Amino acid sequence: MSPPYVMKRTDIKKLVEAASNEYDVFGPVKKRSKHVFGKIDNPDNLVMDYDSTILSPRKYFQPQNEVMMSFDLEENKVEDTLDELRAMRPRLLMAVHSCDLNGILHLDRVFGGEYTDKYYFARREKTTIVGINCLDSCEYGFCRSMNTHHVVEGYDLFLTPISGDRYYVQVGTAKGEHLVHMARDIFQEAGPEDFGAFKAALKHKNESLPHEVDVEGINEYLDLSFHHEFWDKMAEDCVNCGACAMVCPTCYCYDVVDDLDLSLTSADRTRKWDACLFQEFALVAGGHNFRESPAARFKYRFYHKMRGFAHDQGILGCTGCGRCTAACPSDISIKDVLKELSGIWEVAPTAQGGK
Amino acid sequence: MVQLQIKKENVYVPDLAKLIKKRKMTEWETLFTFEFVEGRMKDLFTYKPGQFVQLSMFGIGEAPFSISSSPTKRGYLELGIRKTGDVTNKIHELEVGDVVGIRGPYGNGFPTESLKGRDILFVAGGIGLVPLRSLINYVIDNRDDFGEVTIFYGTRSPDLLLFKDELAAWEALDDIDLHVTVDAGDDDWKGNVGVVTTLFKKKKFKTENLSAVVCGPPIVYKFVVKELLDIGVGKDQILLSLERKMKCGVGKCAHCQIGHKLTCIDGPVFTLFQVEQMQEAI
Amino acid sequence: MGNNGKPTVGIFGFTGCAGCQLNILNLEDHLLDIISLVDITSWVMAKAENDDGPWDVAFVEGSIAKSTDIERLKKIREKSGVLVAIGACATHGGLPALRNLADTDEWKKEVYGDDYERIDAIDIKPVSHYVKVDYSLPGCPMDKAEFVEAVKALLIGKTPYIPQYSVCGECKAKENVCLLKEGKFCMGPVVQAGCDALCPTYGAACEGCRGPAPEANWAAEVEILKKIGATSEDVKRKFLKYCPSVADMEEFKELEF
Repeated sequence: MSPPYVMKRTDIKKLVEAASNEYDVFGPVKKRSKHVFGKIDNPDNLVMDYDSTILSPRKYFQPQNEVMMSFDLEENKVEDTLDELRAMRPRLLMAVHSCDLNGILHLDRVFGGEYTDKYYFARREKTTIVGINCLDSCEYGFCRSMNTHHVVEGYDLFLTPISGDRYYVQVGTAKGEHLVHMARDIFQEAGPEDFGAFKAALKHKNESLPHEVDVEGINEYLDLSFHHEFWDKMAEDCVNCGACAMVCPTCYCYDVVDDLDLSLTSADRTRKWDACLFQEFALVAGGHNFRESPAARFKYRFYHKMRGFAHDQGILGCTGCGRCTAACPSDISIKDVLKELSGIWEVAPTAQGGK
Repeated sequence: MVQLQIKKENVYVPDLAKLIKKRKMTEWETLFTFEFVEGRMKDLFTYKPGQFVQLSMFGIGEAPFSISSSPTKRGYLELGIRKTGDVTNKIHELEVGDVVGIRGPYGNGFPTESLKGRDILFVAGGIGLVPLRSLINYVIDNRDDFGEVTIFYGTRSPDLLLFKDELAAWEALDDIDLHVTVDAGDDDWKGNVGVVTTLFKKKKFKTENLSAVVCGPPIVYKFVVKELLDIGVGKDQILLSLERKMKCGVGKCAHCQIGHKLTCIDGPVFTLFQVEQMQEAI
Repeated sequence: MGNNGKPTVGIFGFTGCAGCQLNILNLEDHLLDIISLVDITSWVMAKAENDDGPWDVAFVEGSIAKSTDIERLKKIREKSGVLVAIGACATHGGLPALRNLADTDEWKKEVYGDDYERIDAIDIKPVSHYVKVDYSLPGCPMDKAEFVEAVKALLIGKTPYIPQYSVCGECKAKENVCLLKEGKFCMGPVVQAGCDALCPTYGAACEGCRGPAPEANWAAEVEILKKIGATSEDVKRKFLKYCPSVADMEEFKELEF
């Protein structure tokens, strides 16, 4: 493990300034009453201490709309956009919370594997990530319940706010070390007192982050509840707008469309964010829809997130970031759904209508 | 069978393929024969019965299609395609010599190795014969490897029967027991009338060595599965090929997710045992 | 097909502000491309010489507000291969149809005086009330990009892409701050997407000009708006403002406000 450093919090500006020579820098910025990840052209706009952002950093690795390839319809030529992507300026992504780092690790698994998605990884490799430790809870998040309040990988540098208005800096990768060297004079190697300050910060975190939802047994609850009326009741308020899926750090569904040029001689193939809440998501040729009712789609999203991921990846697909709750126009709270779900079985373990 | 993998830089980029033959089967379905434009692809592109490809009509879109030819026939690819939407309508407008994009093959395909030595009952409803034909012809071309072979095939009416020439050829084979039925006959129809499950009355099966391979529209599965369980076929020996709207074919877009399985990479062929673990599968 | 082998197009206006037709004229970047692909043989707003059809595609703007319009519309339909309704007036009645909410004789008397009975005014209906509409490009005004998309799609023979979900989906993808959470009466949760959440992106609540999304959960929207302080009357007005034809839908009649 690389030796940790400490730095003054106010020196973040210097780090961003130094990095700007090599990277396009992105990080949390203010948007009306909320925060979003945005481009940092002026380091003063970077907000290190923020509650949450509307969208997760997923947008930097799987953008809302992405041209995958172009077709020349007259010459029957196909050209993908990977070279352009690889020529992209390196990116520095600042102040990513633990929950979102875990979200990115989820996406790494989805887009990796036997069929590697080169678009995703081209962006991923171009990006250096500076994570930041949340020592206090945020409005909607429940990271501790989902065990995403810690990270052991997924960052290049990881900052923990410590006493004396400083950050304790863990270096996760060579990319992180490279970043340190771009502004070497603002980093000091951490000493015994700094380790003490780091421990104190972690102790504070441990005491302050609540454990709100018990997901122990969630797989069993879900297996037993698939046909439970609970889902219809919960779905009554759902407008199937897909806002929850758009803001989710681990949702990755996409649709693919061909856009013709007006000359009708060339076309782009674009993939765009999709959501399993949408009517046409599970529609097949000939008109059969495997999840026809809005309630079926509402339920499916929970099952895929909480159950399907567990099968595919061995972990739950929810990072507890709370964005879906913040975004839902009907104020459907994922925490409440989880609590009610476990409640069904606590009340009457055998009498309910699961199948 | 060793599967040669085509190592591609970008899995989403299709290879160019040329339409070399077009055979109209019904008013709605046509059999299209493609060959890859690039010569080496003819050798590199190998597949298993039951796998599918993603076919691009450039500028219109891409859609998944089961491969209907048998891998025992090398050098070309047959796709039986029904007109149901933008992409398939455009495919039907193709003329011999036109170029499309094809990538694949994807999916697990039928477990040809573990079917060896077993009796096989094929049950196809309507367009479900398209993927099954690949396996049927594979079995015929490796006939000694398999036990008794029975085919049940049903469509709504005689004019909707697919692969009519081939049905006649299969009928003529001594070691294939073919039964065809239509929901409603016409004046010329001399054969069976009734839904495909009525064919189960025609034959007594010994089920200890029997595997069933089923493909059809969603409604077919429920009723056929019931018959198969009634005659005693094991849940792990009932193979269903499922249809979903694969957008990527490689497990990323999640359109074909059923429960915790992805139809495109975990399927499209599942045993009934697996299907029962997957909510909303059939 | 016209004499030059290009598909023929007619663009027609009924009752409305003509803003959708103006939007077509405003497609400066694309208009020449479009004209090179199709032959616009009738477009009174933009052309001195107009013929009488037939047309491969008719784009119809405006709502149907007088009885003589019905015959004219039916003629256009008969002479057109594909009919596309453009803009909220044509697709859902639009703002002009707000007059349906008042007593016809009363307002006629007030506006036109004693001679009011000569005025041909019927309850305003969208185009689809009288003729078959093949495609609808909703919105006030119709979205220019959607129009171009429809032209391309029809030329190449595919279905114009219309998202089957509500504005919230698009709005979130654009990372807008939710206006409902700021207490604004926004229709985003139940209104047909496709506008790229134009109004909310600029901080203005969605007024619902594109009509209900497929399977819109209106009951939930009623609850959402009431929770942030809307009265039953506010909610009803929001639902009907741009799309009065919604009042004829069974789902709407069943709603409790």
